[in-house]
Amino acid sequence: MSELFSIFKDYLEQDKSVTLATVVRGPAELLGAKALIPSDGEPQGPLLDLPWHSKLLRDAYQLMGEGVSASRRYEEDQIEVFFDVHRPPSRLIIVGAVHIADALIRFAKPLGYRTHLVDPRTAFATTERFPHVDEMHHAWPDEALPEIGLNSETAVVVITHDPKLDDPALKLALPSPAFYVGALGSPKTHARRVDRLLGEGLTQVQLDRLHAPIGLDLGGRTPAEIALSIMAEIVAVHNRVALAERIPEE
Amino acid sequence: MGQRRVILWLSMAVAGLGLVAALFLSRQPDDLATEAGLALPAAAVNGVAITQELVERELVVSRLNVAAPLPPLADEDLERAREEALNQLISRQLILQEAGRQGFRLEPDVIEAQAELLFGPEDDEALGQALAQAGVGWSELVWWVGEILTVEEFVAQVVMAGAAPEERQQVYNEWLNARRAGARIEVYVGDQLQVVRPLTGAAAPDFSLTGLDGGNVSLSDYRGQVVLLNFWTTWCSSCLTELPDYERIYRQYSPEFVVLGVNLQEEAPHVRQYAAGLGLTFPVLLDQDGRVANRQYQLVGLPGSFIIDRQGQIVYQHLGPMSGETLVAKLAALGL
Repeated sequence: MSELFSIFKDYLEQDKSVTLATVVRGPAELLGAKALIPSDGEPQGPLLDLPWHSKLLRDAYQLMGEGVSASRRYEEDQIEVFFDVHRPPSRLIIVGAVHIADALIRFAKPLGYRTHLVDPRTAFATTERFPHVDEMHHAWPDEALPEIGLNSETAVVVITHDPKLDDPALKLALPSPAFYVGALGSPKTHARRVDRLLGEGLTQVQLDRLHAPIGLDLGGRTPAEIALSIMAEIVAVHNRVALAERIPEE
Repeated sequence: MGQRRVILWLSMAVAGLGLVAALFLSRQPDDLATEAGLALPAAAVNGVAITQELVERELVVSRLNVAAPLPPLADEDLERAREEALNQLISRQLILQEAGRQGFRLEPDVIEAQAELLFGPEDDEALGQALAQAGVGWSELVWWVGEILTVEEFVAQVVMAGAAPEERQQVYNEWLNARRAGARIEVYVGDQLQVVRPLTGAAAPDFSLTGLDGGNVSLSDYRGQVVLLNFWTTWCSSCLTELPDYERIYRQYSPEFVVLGVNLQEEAPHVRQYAAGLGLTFPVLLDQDGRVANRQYQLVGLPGSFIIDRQGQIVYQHLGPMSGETLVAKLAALGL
């Protein structure tokens, strides 16, 4: 049992989503039995030996996707399991101290995202222009992104329209576990970007997960409308990944 | 203020300083040219003026928040903000001159597109209002963006080309230091236009500052000793890292060698706490308006160090963290 806790702690320290399931009501021999279910990794623990373990896993993934801890009942309500859900805070990393970044930051915060703005151009990336950002990084993307860390709760939005800043960010973000990577650019500039990045060692599969053109099509043109469309896409991807794709087949 | 400028203008004209005329021939945005009028420049870099108007515009544009326009700077913050803006303009001007010499330029349509990305489309209503409130035109904004983009692109493509991520800052600092060393930079200090060359081989500009112990300390008090003039702040982590090394070397080489730790624009009790925590025994001085650092020594970043020989000449200047080994080697070269 202590081994399970030490693995649990490891997941938490690595900023990974993980759920600890514990039987809190039921037959005496089951009380306190546990299972550890990471979002990305092998579930383990004695609870998984039970015949209804697939129901338990499904509930664990669903709760993890929603980011809420809760109890669920099994075996005609005779057994109650509490799911202690730990999800690292979601992060939005914006590369480019451009106009729509400010609106993105404003939309992201009430949605529960911790916001990071990355731009080495100190004249543009000022706290006067971006008073609401949680963390400002006056560094190149290839320095800032590893420092911030790209985990499965990270969304990366690349919007400088400048290959010398956009490309290094994409080279790190696309192969990373970040759940969302999007980049601004017309179809023409995107095609050129794909050629460049393929030439620099990224694979077609990695490039296929890039959201470009960025954002859901809301038909808007103003900076606030574009920011909303990007944020809406991030929320959609986040929820879909959590709710649909991670549920194992029974 | 206006009267003082006029008097200055007259006295300088009488003194026959042709420099002033040269400064007025400098390039500036068309919208501002007509306003150049009688105001004296704030500084000049290799003869190219940085006008007072440019400094004021820098203050406004660098704080331009389209979504939520900011109130003007409070009077008590204005002087410091002007110092910082002027310092940035001097560095920018140096880099632009070098870029120009190498024929480096960005296409106007690239600059215009980036200006729209950075601040919103020209016809954006909120942007129009923010610009009107700031008293800046769209063309001036585009011009400002163009200068910064040119500087950034030149630094990225030429200066830092091939540098590893962790080396970039140092490569840039050294390059800029070398440019400053080779440039003629003139800045108004008090009521006088001075040639500011705190450079290797030049006399270190004298100053008088209040120490943490409350007494006044002048650089000239230390004539006959080798001086490490080190500019630092408590929020500059690499400053805090190097100070204990300097303390150790100070104790080892004193009294032939002294360290003057000049803190930049922080409150005395706060500085005292850090100085005590770091166990500093050398004089710690307070540059409260930043004038010594920004104007006299043209500091472009922190930490910044100047080694001054027994005759008061700067023999070495170092921007960024300087190791104890480097300092000891420089002292050895001075016979310590």
